[in-house]
Amino acid sequence: MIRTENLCKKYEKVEAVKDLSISVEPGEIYGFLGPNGAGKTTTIMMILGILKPTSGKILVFNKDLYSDYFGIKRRVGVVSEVQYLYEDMTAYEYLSFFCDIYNVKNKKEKIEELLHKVDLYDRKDDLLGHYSRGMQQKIGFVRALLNDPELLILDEPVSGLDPTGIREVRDLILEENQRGRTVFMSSHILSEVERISHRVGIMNKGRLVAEDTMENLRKKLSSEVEIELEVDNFDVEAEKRLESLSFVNSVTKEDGKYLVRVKADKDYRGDLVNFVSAIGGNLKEIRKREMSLEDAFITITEKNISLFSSGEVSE
Amino acid sequence: MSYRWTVIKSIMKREARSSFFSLGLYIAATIACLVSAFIFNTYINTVEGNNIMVMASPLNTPLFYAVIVAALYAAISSSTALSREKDRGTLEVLFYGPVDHLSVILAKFFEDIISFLIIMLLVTIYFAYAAITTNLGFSITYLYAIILSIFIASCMSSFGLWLSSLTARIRTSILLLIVVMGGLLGLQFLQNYILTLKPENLSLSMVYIMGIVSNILRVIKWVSPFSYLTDGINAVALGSVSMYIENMIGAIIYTVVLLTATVYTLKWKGVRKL
Repeated sequence: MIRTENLCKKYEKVEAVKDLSISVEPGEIYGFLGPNGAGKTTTIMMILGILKPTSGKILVFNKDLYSDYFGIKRRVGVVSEVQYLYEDMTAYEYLSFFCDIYNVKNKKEKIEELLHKVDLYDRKDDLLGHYSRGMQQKIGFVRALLNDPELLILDEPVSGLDPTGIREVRDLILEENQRGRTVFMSSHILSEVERISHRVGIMNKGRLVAEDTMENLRKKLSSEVEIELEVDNFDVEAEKRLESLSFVNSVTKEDGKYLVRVKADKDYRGDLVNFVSAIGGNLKEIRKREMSLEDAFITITEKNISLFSSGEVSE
Repeated sequence: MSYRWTVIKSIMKREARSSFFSLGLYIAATIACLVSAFIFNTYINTVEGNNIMVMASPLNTPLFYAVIVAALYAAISSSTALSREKDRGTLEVLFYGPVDHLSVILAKFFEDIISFLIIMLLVTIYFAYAAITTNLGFSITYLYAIILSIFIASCMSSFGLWLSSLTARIRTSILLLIVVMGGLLGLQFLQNYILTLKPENLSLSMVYIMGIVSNILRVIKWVSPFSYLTDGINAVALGSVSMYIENMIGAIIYTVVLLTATVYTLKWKGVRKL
């Protein structure tokens, strides 16, 4: 759907995007993560042809944007962080205007259907200037969906929304993805991206520092894995023996459970089960603690950038 | 091209709707009518006071003033057309969709011409009323003047759009328009003043300065939309067909060049809200 190859954007002395190569596959939700100023919006603007890349290549639907500008743009829907609406227009007039631009057939039905979907049908004749931030965001979504796009590009779509607004937008994204639309979503709200993305690309200081599925990213980033053990019949001596195992880094006790930090080179759960059984312990529960994307993100952006950049953390 | 035309029509429709519901258009039409009414009244008084029985094209001079007001409105409105949208961020949003630089600029340009025609229609209604009540009547030159005025308005509008593409804020656009228009008008007044001077009464250095100023003015003649306005007025007043056609062709070339420059300037400056 989207492919960039060695994409660069340079402003006089600042390199906003450096050698960016990403690929968004059909049907997926691709989370484009990074702190403010990482180069996410610059990348999106280049994909949309609003900013001209300094170098590199962008393909949308396997085509160069300028080989079929109008054709490609008609297949894409975009929602930005701030909607910048024509505040002197009513919601209906605004959407009708964009239906005309996209040459949408049956525009009345289309607008009404989408306004019902976001619960704004009753406010369709209100001026957009009177809409709240959340309502404006919903109108932005409706605008982006008017042309039944195959690809949705969302730039910080939940930024500045209250929890209810965030949930509504998240549901909308998931629903549209289930309908077959590919979603490319930039965000700095990690929990949101983690919750809905199939794959994630993490940007920092203009560079893509990691790109993979959530699971693989976590694996890559963990130098150790935390395993929770709930065991009966486990004395101090058993604890000491557990700690002395070659693959165990440390053992702590939390709320009656043991938190065992083991090396990340393989899955040691089987070894732990065997160990507990061998010393006569009664294993009630064993669970691997997942690293949240937030942890991964912080790890990547603050600690492991150089490792990723130099390719030391490999797949 | 056909799809671009759909986009142009959609944006033009939105712009026209916005103009119809704003006061600017009606204020410009009212000023145009008032100015021409004042000139018209002066004519009537002249006719009465001097017992003139025959007067060639009595409506032309009042019409010229109406054209000046309407063309100035076109320049002012176009000079903020792009910067206003850029300032508010709405231009960026348009470019998320199937909209390109040329379609936005052409839509704004055509909408400006439509607004100009609406003002001229209102002025013509007023003139028709005045012509009937005073029995002065319309002449064919009125029609010629109206046709030519469209070309003059296109010069003004394309000039305003180009200025607008240079800035990203409404206030800056208006200031730039005032400075540039003031400068161009000032130079035209200077040219008129120079023409009144007698070379034999001037010092050598003054003659030299006059030569430089004349050369600058010769260049500015091609740049200033006001030259097309004054030349057009002269062409109609003199009834010169060649001047009339020359003015039309010049105005078309001027408009195409300025609109092309606007496209490139907008591409260079970008459409994003700063």
